Amino acid sequence: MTTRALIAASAKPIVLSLLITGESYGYQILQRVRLVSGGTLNWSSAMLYPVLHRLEKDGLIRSEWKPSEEGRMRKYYILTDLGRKEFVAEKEQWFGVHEALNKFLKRAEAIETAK
Amino acid sequence: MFDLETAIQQWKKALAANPGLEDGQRAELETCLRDEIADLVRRGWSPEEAFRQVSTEMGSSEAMGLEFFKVYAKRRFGPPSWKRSGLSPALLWNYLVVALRKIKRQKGYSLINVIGLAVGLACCAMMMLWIRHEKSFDRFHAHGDSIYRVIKKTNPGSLLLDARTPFPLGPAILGKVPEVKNICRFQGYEDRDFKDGDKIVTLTHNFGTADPSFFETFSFPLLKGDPRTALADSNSIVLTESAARKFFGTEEPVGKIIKKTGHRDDYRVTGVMKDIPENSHIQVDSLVAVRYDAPNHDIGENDWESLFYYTYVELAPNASAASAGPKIAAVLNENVRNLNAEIILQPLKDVHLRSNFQWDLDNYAQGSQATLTLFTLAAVGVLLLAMINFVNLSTARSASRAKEVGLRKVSGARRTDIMGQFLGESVLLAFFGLVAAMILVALGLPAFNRLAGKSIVPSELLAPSFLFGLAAMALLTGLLSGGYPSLFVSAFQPSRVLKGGFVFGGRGPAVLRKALVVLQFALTLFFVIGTAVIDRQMKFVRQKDLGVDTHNVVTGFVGVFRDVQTVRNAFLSNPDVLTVTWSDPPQKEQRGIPGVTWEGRDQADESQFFPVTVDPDFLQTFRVGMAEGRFFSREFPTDATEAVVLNQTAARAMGLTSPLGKKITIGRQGYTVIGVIKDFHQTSLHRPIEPMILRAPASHWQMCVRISPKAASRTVDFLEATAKRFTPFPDFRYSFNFLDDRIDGFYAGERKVEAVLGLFTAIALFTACLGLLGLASFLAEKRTKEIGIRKVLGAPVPSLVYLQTREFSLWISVSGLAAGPAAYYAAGRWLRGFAYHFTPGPDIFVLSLLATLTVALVAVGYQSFRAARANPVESLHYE
Repeated sequence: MTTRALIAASAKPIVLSLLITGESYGYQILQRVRLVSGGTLNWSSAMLYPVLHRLEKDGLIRSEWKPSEEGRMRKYYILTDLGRKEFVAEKEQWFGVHEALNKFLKRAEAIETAK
Repeated sequence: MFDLETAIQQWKKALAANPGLEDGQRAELETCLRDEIADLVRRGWSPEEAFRQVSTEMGSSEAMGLEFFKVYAKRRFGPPSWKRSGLSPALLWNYLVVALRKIKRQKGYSLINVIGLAVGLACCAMMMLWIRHEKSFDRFHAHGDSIYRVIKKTNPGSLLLDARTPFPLGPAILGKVPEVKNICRFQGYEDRDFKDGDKIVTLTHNFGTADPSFFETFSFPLLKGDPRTALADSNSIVLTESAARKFFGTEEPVGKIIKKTGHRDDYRVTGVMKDIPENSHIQVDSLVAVRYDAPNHDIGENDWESLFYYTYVELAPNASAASAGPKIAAVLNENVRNLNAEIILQPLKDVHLRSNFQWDLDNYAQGSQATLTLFTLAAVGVLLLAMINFVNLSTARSASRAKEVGLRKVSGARRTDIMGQFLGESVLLAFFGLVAAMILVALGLPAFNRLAGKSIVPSELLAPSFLFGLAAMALLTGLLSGGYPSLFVSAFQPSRVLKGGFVFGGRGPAVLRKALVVLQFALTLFFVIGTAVIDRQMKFVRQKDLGVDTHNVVTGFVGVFRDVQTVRNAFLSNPDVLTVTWSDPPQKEQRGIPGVTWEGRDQADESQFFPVTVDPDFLQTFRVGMAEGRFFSREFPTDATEAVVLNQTAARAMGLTSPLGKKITIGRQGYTVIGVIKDFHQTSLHRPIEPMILRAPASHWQMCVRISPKAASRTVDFLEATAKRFTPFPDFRYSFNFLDDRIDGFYAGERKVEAVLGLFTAIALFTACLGLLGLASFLAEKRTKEIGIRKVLGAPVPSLVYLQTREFSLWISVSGLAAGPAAYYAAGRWLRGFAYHFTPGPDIFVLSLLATLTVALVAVGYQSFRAARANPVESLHYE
């Protein structure tokens, strides 16, 4: 179980990382998040769409209505240049945090087992 | 059958209701919904399950709308604009200012509303006070919940409920009925005069007699003396604090000796009890032991036949009254032959309001649940009238608020906001009314106490629970009366009202107003007819030929004289004294005698007979005629012991076709019927004429004197003085009263109802006319131009007044159709309480309707007249 705050914080880098490989639409993003995280993350549409809209408002992504293979109109999201830069920045930031966190947790674990 | 497309359409509709979602966002959400459903269906879900799963997962439209809103909001905090906070202090202040401004600008209407509500609320408040007071009776006893009064239920021909029980019953059940922990017999009767040396002291209440267990059973605290022994001796007497003060001032009362006037016994004061609170059905000034009082009434320790005392039982904890009753009845039936009585244990707290027995204490003002209910309904009726005024006037005046409502709506007020504002205004007005009502109640309380015979103190007005009840009532009144107007006003369409096309309320409220005015006058007319019926019945009982002539007859208790004949002659020496008789005058109630048998009596016949004590002068004094045979006569000395006279009803009840000479026995005594007297009323007209047996007196106690109508009061003084001369008890106080006054007293309860209902009727009529006045002036205003034009074209003033009052007259007449049958039905029910009553004809209805119509027309007439007289230049010039 991942806390709400953590889900909210990680939403932005996850969406950006998914879109860097190409355009996608809401439901597909939901599916991929579930698939790639191995079920650890299970987003709801009510959570995803506001995030997409916020990213669009901040200019990191843009959207386009296009017909899908089944013929229905669908809204696709595409990463902007600003979004790509933001992705790089986010990536560095998260890896940095990840690395530091790793060290802290490992150290704590080692001391714990040594006791 | 589930259809996915319909379900999705509905889902979209719910989404569309949310102001936070825009079209594009909704479309996107829809594609997502469809994708997910399609995916689930592919995986084998049914469309219905899939839809349900996905739509719940997505959450409510409201939550989604809020999330989307947050993305685009400029402010980071606070709810979205379409979801303004409920409480906005600035707006509340504005509501209050506007409300007060409106009240000030429309002084007339506000005044009508506030006065109406104040009067209605005051009536209800008064009733609440009264009900609280009546319900507080006998609640102060510590063991009150386990104290019951023993009520005897027998069925001799007709059901008889008697609160009195045989004297030995109490001691007999103690120990025999395990549920009964303690018993106390009690009786209080008027016997006011005592002597302390030569000083005669008159007490205001009653001479009480009770068992020594009195102070253990009831919570009447003794200030001086020992509660266990205070009533132990034959000559013990306990006085109340104020009685003791009357006798001895500040001296120590315990140990002092007092006498009862007209008796030889001395009493020694053994205790002083706290004054008995007014809300107690047991009211005494002094108390002696019941065992020593019984012989004064010829009641012996083992006398199971006489009924005089009331028996109270205190049940053991957890004992049930239902199981104790039959056991007490068994003891009673064992001791009284052929009685077959049932016993009902009446809870102490029910004695005041729920005693409706043929025989009961009559020495305190007993309450009546029925009267209380009647008055409460009347009070609520008056409040209802005031509320209708409010509804009518505010919907009529709503046009003046239309622009305000339009503007508020344009600036973002929603319908609920407007409703809240208008409801708030009506509640505010109701609270103004409440304040006025409190003042009215405080001012009117003394008058009300006099009318209702109560002593409710003003401080009860400030009891927290009472104030809370009043506030709740005012709030409810405000909400109920503001409800419809607020719904109506809040429905205004800003586009219509702001364009100015909308001037006066639509057809809907106009029809409602008519209906409400009809309802108002139906209610008022109901009051008027009710009061008229009671008034007519009171006239009827006063004028009905009772079969006896009671005018100019005075009666009094005169004590036992040694030589009746001498006293009689002394009385008759005054030429203004016409006849003197030692006979029972008409009583409010009669007491039946058991054990009457006659020749040819059917064994199963259980008719009850009522004895009347008369002497030979009865016939002349009361001017009654004989139907058959002769009356008692001094020429036949045996008449005094062996003769009876029956009334016609009794002869019929016995089935005697030729009663003369027939033998009857009462108890063990045999009598011969010497005559049949014509039927006359010996009791109030609530009861039919009972079968009566007239006998000569065993002792001469009650006296009736026919006096000449001139110089009546001087003759009464003469009688009182003469009685004093012959009595063996020179300190006994004699008083003679006119029999007609006493007969009037039989109907005191009805008179009280009449007085209070009359007051309510006046208030109801006033309130209804107040509303009518408001409506009339509104309509006149609305028709100002029409009247102006008619006048210019030559219409005379009377025709213009007619034009305006025609409609009201019609409404009131229609209300008569509704009120008439209802009032007649209710009047019929009330009149059934009398064995003899008048039959209400159409005249009462017609007169009541005319009277109401007249008052209403006077109220609106002036307004109409003023409008008709106005100079048309003024009204037409305006614009």
